[in-house]
Amino acid sequence: MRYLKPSSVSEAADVLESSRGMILAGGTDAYVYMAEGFCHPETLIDISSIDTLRGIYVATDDREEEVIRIGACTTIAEIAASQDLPTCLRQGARAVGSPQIRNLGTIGGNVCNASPCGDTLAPLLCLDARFVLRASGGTRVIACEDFFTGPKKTVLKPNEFLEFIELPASSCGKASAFRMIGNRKGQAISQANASVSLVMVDGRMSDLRVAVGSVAPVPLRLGKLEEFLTGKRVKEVSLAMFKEPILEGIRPIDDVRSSASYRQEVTVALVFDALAECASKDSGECEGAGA
Amino acid sequence: MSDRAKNFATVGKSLRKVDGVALVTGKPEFVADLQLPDTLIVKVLGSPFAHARIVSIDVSAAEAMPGVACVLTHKNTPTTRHTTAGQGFPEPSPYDTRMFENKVRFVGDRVAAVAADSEEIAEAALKAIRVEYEELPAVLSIDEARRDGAPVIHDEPDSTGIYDVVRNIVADVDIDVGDVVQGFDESDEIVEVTCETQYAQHTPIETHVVLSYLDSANRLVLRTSTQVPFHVRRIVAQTLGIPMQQIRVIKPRIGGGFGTKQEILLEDVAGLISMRTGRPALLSLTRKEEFASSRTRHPMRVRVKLGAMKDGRLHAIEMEATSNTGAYGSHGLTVLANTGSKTLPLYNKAPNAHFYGQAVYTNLPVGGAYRGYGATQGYFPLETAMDEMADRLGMDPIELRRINHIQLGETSPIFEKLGEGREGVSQTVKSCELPRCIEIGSERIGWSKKRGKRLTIGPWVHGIGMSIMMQGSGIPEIDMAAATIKMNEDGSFNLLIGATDLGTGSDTILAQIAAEVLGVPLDKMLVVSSDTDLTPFDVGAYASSTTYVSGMAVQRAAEKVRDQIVRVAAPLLDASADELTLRDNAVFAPAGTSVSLARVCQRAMYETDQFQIGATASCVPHESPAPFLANFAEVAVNRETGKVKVVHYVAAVDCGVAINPQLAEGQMEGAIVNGIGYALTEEMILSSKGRVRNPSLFDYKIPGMLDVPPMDIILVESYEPTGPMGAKSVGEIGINGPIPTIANAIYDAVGIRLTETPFTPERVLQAMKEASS
Amino acid sequence: MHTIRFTVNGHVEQATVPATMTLLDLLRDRLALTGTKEGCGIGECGACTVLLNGNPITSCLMLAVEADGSDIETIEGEAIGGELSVLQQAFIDEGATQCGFCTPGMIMSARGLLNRIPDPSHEEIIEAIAGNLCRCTGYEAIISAIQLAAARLSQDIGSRDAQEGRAR
Repeated sequence: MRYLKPSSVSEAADVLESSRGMILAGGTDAYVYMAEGFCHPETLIDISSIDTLRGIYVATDDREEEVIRIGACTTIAEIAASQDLPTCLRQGARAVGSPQIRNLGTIGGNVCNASPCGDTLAPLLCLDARFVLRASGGTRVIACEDFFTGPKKTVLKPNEFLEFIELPASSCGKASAFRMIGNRKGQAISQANASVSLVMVDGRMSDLRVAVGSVAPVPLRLGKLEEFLTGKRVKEVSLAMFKEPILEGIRPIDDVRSSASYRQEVTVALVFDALAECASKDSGECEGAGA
Repeated sequence: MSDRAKNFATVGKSLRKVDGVALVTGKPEFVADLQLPDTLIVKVLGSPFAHARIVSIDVSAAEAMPGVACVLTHKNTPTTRHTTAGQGFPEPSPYDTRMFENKVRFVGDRVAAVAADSEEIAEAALKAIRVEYEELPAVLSIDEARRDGAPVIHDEPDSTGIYDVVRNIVADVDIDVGDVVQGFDESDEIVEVTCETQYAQHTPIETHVVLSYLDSANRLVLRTSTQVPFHVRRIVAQTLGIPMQQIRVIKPRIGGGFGTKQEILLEDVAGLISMRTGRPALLSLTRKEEFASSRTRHPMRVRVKLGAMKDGRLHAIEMEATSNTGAYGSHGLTVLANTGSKTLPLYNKAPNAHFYGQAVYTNLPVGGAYRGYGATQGYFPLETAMDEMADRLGMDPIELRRINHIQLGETSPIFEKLGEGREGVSQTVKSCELPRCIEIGSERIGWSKKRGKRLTIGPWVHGIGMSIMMQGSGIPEIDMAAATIKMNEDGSFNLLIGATDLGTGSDTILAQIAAEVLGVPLDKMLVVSSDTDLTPFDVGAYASSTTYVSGMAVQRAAEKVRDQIVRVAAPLLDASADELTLRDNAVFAPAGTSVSLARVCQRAMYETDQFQIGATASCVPHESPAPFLANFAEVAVNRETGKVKVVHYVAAVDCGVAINPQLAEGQMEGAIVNGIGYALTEEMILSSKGRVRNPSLFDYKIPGMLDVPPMDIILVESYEPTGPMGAKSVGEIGINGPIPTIANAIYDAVGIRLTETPFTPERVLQAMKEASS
Repeated sequence: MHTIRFTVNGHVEQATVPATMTLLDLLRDRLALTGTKEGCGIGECGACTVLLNGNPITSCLMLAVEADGSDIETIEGEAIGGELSVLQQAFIDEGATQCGFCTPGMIMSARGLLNRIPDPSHEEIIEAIAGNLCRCTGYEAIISAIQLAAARLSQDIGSRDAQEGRAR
């Protein structure tokens, strides 16, 4: 196995183009796969110490809109601790692995690993995140919704890697929350998780996004539920009322961690709980990047 | 504190562990920390099938690889049948195991071992071994095992000690007191509960590991992570067919045991490799291998039937247990027997009792010793049934237990009828503070305020539950421990003990006992333990024996040494030996004159009637005094997700005099948290082919720091007259508490009786749904 | 093979390692720093925790080559000149060590915490140690030990440890 440590993004893109190696961005998942014999990369390309890939700041995106930009190699611990990011993403980051893993692992790694139970995926989805993908020929931008194609599968081509994650600047003005259930408190793998973002206008829910993870091959937006809830007051809705729109949307499986039927039951409870937390806040909770 | 315990100088104090500094500084104290030049790395090939015959095995490609030193299979290894259970000789477990065999009986069963210069080479060589298997029909549940025409798992002619080979029954137990049939007829109220417990694993943070090498005299040294060094020596000699005197076993610090290291799993393989190659060999299980191929808690189905009179007096108890020992019968009989023998004496008032059961083979992971040893499985249905009986009779569960549990000065016929897989030993209870444990614990949890109130906060409903239990202290008339103490001329002592400190702190408490007798501070006792060349025999650390049995051996050895010291000191103090006392590193005469211990020893070594002050003493216990425990838990159950949170756990325990209260509390805390994991999250999930599907700590969830509830451990001291310094043992009992206590608390909260562990959110939610429909 | 340079417990080290070697194996097998333990090999148990540039990480999940240029602290650097650190002494005093196999990793996680937050709350302690599994103690004594160490450090502001700004 070869190990390469490019010092810039363009060098990384070139090395990837020529070697078609495996990108290492923290390595907490990659190393486990190698140790368990799931993959045998010939070349590892370590991008974790490229400076421009780290940090959270305000930038202008390809559409000339103001965004919060997160470098792909920003550690999960940094995401969890950031005051400049929406609550749901910080809560999701806090649910990843252990403190030691959060210190090594990166948001880009969590996203590109594309595990259906990845705890930052549903938050990014409910925040309308967009991903900037880099190749030696240039960059392209793709919406989070379109990025995941299956368990551990994404639209990334062999010569591409994730450079940035961008959130609309407005996402900091929203109330948001993340909930998960695992079989233990610390270091648990999600049996199901849910993330909600919304704005309360005159006590009514608007600009609502509901995303769920671990209950389908990819993280899912629950469009029907969003439609159903938009314009309603939280007090008007009960758990029983939105059970149907949720169950229609998700496709959980039986596995060693949980059964499909339990995942269905519990997803409803998690969404309801996350919604209640959002509704309890009047406005957004972060100051905005760079503030 | 009891009056007799009040005058102790060293005992009863929370002194620092004697190995503490080495452990917090990361000194190379553990097996794999010792790095010897030229060490071979050993890897083991496990069976992919639950049940198969090896038609052929070709290791030529593996042997030919550069860097491969040795390959072992059934073709080139000894064929002696033995048990891997590290028990006293003759072991009550069947001799049904060979080092390697042409038949495999569970997924992960040993097929071959490779020793190579590096791990990479060893792993590559394993892959180069060609095995042709003939897959056999497998037995994958206890119900299938005894069915007519079921595959016979141990059809080999040379295994011995199996109760019924053809029906896959390892062991059968059946004992009676009075007449339960009549007893139930006469009872006013009958309750029957059947509970099933899951496959669970010990998961010490250090997996099984052994380093073997030959010493300068070409003797085999096994530096191994074991609870039973002397049994390792005996069983490895037996397995390899070599004289026992050729083997030295050293137990250094070990990273936890909990029963799984009361098993001789790796030492024979590493040892044989060192003998064949002359090189050191390190064999260490990966976590995945540990899950697949080491030992587990026997899963059981246990049915309890209680008959009681209207006033709450129990009139008849029946317990039927079916235990799954997996592919080998390790601890099969004794764990089964303990399911009854450690539980039924608790309710000795019932004149009619019946315990019967069988342990059966399956083609599944192998059972073994695990803290609690059957009692854990037995108390779940027993204490659930008691809770249900209280409900039926309209009594407070505490009151029902109060009028039925065993008391000071009482006995139970079960003690004599049922022992370690054979008849037991009659005994009366000479220390018991269970009533006070119940009283203190119920007050601490707020029993009368909270019981039945179903405090509800959002989706969470609170409830409280309780249970009581007893265990034992060692195995009477079977266990044996010895200790040697010798004195040095500076007034220090070497304490040589076969006893095995697994992290429990036994080196420390045994030194405290010796220091107490000899009137010296703890740092004057220099402890060497668990080395078969240097220390006297001890059966090892299991069955809650160390404090009580090894402790008594130490006390006796110390008393012999004290007798020698006062004889030497008497002329120096111009007094008679029997009026002298030892304290503060000196011998005191009644008049107050004293002579230092160093001076005494110098006289014995250099001056008059020279001799080595020192002695060896042994202990074989004649009874097994029980520690007693009252558990209380407050839980919150989430009606929407089924999640169970333990909000508060209270354990009030009577372990006699706690030689070192901090270490005794540590035993309780660790056992309870392990028990909470067993109750709520831990479960080995098996595929339809018998493979462990969650062989990692990611998916087999032992409690982490965030999962631990606020706990109150209360040591309610008694004085056990047969124990060293009034002590009983405390290593196991705590683990039995969480399952029934949490189950009863869940019932109080949401009215469901859970009979299958672990109580995962999914099971709880399902049970709530069934109850409401 | 890759040649890397890094500091371990203040000493500059250089090593030539294959790309597949983990930081844990480098520490244990090459540098004989066997205080760092392996309990699972895939980041589940925390026994291999060391500080990387001041932050606790699981050394079994990191390749040795990735450590090039970094500053690593292990349990062997915790006591200086045979004198136990405040944390180590607190672990002994509170009975936070039973078998002791998880202890080096626990202490390194606790060090990372106290370096960051000298007076952690109960909540911050259990969050910080959540990635370190212990099967013996039930954790209560470990929490108490960290609280005791924090308390002793805050009372002892003139000590060498405090001057160094570390949890010694």
